[in-house]
Amino acid sequence: MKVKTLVAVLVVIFAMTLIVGCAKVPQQELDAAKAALDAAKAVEADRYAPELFNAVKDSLNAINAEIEKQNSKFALFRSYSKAKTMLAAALAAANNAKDTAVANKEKVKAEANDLLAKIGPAIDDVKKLMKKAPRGKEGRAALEAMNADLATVEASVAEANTALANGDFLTARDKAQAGLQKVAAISEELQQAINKKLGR
Amino acid sequence: MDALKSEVKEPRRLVEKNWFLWANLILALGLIGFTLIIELSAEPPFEAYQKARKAVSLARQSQANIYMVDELIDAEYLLEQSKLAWQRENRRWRVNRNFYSARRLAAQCSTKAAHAAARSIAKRDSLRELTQNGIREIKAQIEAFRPDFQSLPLDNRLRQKYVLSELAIMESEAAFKRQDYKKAAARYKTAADYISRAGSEATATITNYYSNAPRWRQWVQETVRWSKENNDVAIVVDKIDHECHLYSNGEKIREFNIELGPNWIGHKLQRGDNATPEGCYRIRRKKANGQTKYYLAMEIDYPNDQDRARFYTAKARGEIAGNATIGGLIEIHGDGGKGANWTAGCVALANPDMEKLFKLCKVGTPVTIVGSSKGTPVRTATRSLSDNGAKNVRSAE
Repeated sequence: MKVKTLVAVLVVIFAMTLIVGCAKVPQQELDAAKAALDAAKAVEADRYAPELFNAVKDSLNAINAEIEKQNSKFALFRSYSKAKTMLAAALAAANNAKDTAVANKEKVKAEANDLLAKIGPAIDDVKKLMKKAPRGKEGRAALEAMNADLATVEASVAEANTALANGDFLTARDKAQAGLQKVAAISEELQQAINKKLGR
Repeated sequence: MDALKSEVKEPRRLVEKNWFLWANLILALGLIGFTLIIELSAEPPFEAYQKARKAVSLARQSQANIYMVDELIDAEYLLEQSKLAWQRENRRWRVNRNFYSARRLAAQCSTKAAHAAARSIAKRDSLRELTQNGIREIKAQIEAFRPDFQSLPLDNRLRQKYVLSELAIMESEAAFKRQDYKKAAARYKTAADYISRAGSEATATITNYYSNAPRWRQWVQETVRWSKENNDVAIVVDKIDHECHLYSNGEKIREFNIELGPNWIGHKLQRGDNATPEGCYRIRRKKANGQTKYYLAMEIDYPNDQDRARFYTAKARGEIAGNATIGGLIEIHGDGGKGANWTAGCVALANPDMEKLFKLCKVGTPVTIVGSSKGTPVRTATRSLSDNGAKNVRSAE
């Protein structure tokens, strides 16, 4: 009876050894997390969601450390359950970084598009205003100068459109914003000249 | 019978006992061996790797990926190499493992990353301060330059540079607001370049032009004196102010607005340069309505001896084409008041003004054309500000 018990205990220990000893590196999960990080990088998460992106990069390094820590152990004692939990969190964080980057990028793109859409009509308004401007001795020369200024702004707007087409939305937004500000300044200058003429 | 049974059971119990002892002995030996292997195995570099990882993370948080790119790349490379060295050792038999290399690489990574983080913060703070000051200074330069630009006849090329500097500084401010100091510094540098070039070119042009001021003053004084001595009328044309002054008996009696050629700064050198000549002339011919297409006209005796001397010298030096001619038919005429410098070098007045002037002048009336009758020295604030701006850009770099 005792022999039978001993044999049973040994069989159980052997089976457990086999089960635990066969714990594998969660390679599939690791690859999925790395792919998610690459996908986040592809949508410029490092530029549009830098904090989230950096956190994911750090998580992957921490996971690597955890996996190697387990790999350093005797096969019987290895456990990748913590690494798996961390990988699941890293995958979610990478997807979140990607989604946030896409959203932020879209927001900047929409702002750039919005500003660029406003510049054309703003330039047209200034040109209409020019027709009402005084055309005395200095007036004509000033109008010529303003026209030259508008041409420079239009060239800058063209650069903003190129940046937008190339996916550099931050540059496009900056340029569009600057262009719009300059057009507003020209418009104000013109309005003042007109008011002066009208004696307001 | 019972005795016989007990004799048979005794050896079996003995065998069971021995077997149990042997099993325990093997298990004990196994445990001792296992403990020895664990004890003799090298400690994995977990702590060192974690320290390195945290240092890299801190470097990234400190924006070393923007301000200390090369150092961060080096640190990340060392971290990767440390992990690979660790992996390599993990594949070896436990007692043969040596994590020295992995630990050393992790330590190097920690040092590099910590350095990158510290340098990145210092560089970012320094760049932020320099850019903030630079933006303020360039904006001041742009504002200082604005009145000069509005009052002086500078060409569109310079004006374009001025506007480009305005746009670049606005872009720099936008980048600064979102804490992209590198981009802000780059755009501020562009703005500084434009305003510096526009400022120095404009200042050089005007300074050079005003170098004739003593001569202009002398011509004006001689003309006014002539008017007084001869109790007669004389005309002084002030190009900068776009005015025509009529003197009688040495006193200014009238001022008329005028328009000139588009290239009016500087002296007329050859035919077709659309410049208005500078010098002392006299009315050679008066053209009544019908004799000119510009309502009324008074032709002056351009070119005079100095004009010819200047023309031939320029030709000899190759400054003008060999087949160039000196031009002529420079007039004070009507049809002005267009609000632009449109003539081919003549002086145009609005027709009512031209009528008045025409009546008061005769053939032989002196006409002195100068850049400025006031001889106002040109402002050089723009250029000095530009020089300071350039210095700041160099510091930011």
